Amino acid sequence: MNLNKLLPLFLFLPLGACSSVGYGDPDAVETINIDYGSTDLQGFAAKMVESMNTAPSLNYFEHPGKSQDKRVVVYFGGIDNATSEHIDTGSIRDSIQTSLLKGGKFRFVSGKPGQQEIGDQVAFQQGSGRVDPTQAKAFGRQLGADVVVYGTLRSIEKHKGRSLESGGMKTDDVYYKFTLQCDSIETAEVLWMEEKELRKTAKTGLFGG
Amino acid sequence: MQAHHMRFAGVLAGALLFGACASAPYGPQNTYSGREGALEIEREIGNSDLNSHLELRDIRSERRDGRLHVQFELSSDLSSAVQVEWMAHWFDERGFLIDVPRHWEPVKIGPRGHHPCTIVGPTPSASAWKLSVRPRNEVK
Repeated sequence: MNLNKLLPLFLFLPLGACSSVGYGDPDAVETINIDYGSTDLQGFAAKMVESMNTAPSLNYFEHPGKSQDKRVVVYFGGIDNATSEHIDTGSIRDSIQTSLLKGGKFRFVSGKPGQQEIGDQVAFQQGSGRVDPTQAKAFGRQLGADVVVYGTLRSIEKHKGRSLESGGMKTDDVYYKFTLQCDSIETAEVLWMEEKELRKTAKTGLFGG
Repeated sequence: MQAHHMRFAGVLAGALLFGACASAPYGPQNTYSGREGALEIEREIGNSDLNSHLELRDIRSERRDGRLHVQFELSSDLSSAVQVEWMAHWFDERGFLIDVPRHWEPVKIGPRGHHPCTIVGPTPSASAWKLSVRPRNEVK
């Protein structure tokens, strides 16, 4: 057997020889590709949290039914995904709500999944006969939200193919704009609004994927 | 002659195999710590090369609506653009970490450029901060 024929095999062997699994830093900057990623989510959430925490218009909310605690009671609505990508915008909402809740400036009422769970539990406590009636919870005492927070994630994508002019380079560009706003439920007045933009550009050489 | 080729290929394959499994370690970082009311900041320089070209300057802080705002500027003296990332940790008056979501914020600073940043205490109790800056270290 001609050993020279085996030479390329030896050279390419290492390319497939190594694979690894490891825990990484969830806070690290991620640029695996141009698509929406964890760093974008974290950047959007951080900007909105900082802006809401420092907005004077959201420092307190007066209402005759409220006790001494004048903090704004928030219902966090939906974040509309108006991009062409499949993006779980619920995770942006979760990140923002988690940070705001830990910050202590706002109070939150339960969203749709929470209300479903609460409804099931109240029905169980009231109707199953298994719960001590003195401890059974009933409807009618939930907090009424002062404001609703909701937003939209939009994108503009541009692609430029390989050409002689670009030296065989392919360019993909995506621009994201995330807008979040807070409206008074009683008056529909927009009390706060913020937007965060970001742009990602990928240039791929002749032999790139 | 064939044996010589085989030996060469074996050595090359071994070297490539060794290199294939190496992964880049996270780069050393520089850390700047300050607290409310203090005029001085503490510097922990883990990356002297970065420190010699990238300066954290014009640091100022004040409380607005009960939260500590800190403003600083990242300034580069390099003749080409530099990509870095920064992250802030916040501590209360007794030095305990305030546990809120955080992340590395990527920044591109132009040639001999400046990048102003503002960080805001996540809770009213946040009174000290630690800012880490390191070269861009992406998950690619």
